[in-house]
Amino acid sequence: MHEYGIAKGIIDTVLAEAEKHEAKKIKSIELLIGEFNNIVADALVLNVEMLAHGTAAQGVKLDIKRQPLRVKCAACGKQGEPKEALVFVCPFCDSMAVEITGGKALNIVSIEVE
Amino acid sequence: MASLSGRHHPKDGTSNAMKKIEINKDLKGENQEYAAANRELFLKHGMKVVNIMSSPGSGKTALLEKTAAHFQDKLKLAVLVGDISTNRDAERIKLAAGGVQSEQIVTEKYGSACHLDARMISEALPRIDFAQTDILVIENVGNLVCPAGLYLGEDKRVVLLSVPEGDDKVKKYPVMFREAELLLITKMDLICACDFDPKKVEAEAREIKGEIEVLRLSAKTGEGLAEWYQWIDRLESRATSYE
Ligand SMILES: Nc1nc2c(ncn2[C@@H]2O[C@H](COP(=O)(O)OP(=O)(O)O)[C@@H](O)[C@H]2O)c(=O)[nH]1
Ligand SMILES: [Mg+2]
Ligand SMILES: [Zn+2]
Repeated sequence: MHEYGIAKGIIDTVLAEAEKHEAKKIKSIELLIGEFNNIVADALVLNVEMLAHGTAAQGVKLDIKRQPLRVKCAACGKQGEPKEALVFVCPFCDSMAVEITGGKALNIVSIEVE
Repeated sequence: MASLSGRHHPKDGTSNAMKKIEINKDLKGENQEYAAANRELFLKHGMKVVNIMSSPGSGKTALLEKTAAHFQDKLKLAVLVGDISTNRDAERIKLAAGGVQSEQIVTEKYGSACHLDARMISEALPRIDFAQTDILVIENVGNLVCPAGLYLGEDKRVVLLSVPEGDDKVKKYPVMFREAELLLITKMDLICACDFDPKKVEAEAREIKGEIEVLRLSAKTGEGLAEWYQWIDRLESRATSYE
């Protein structure tokens, strides 16, 4: 269950931003989440809903943009997405000598407020 | 990951005062800040720090019981144990070696997190007497996935894989293995009862991380423990921090 900690980080950040901009209500949050982080979207939504309750973010919608995992293979030199989630094997030659080149993002991109 | 993209709220005419604010904040930044602060403290007090990770039940606490008992008169060892609930493991280590500082981090108060993060370490450090600590060993929460992504400020990472878990785990959880300096194959006393090929595990671990060290041991019979103790004795601070 590491979605709680992330949800806490999101809610703390967006509430502070909303206050800074004197917004009364946070309507939506745009997130960029790399597959590497192994986050279960439903669990994240539940935790955000729970933490948002009774705050300016109550009822907020999450707009989650998924960033696929990409690896660069040291054996064959190609880049691509592994066939299986979180199994870092080259999709072309099955080598495990890969470097992760994408999918680590865990960002709050923007929020919509009123 | 169940994707929720496309779940936009309706843009009806009622949201006239709607405003978009760009934030672009990296949510991992906070952990990195705590980790850097932890690291600074460790360096200042000349402490070397090891982060031990594995699935639940691989034998982390059993190994630390032996390790604490072995080192209690030889060097100043302190242990921080993470678990979702109960102080049992920290108590087990105190029972095994009364002279060793052993403190628990219960993640229940951090939303029952399945890993330790740098902030939890930072909040637990006041319970450790730095003057009485040369080496701090952190037993992470049992989990082969999440702890790998969270730098605590440590010098070295050790991952345990026990014989009964099976020899296919390196391929299944490569992130954990690519983040570790040392792989301990534990419960070697059970090798006859299990279809486990330690050579295959070593070869796959090296394929992921060429310079990984691998030791085979059993906390029960004592096999291989001497090499592990040597590894602890030789510990050096890490020059660069983890990503
Ligand atoms: N046969 C055998 N059992 C072990 C060994 N090390 C630990 N165990 C057992 O494995 C179980 C889990 O060990 P524990 O140290 O609590 O694992 P942890 O969850 O990784 O801390 C306990 O029942 C231990 O007695 C070992 O070397 N050999
Ligand atoms: Mg334990
Ligand atoms: Zn390849």
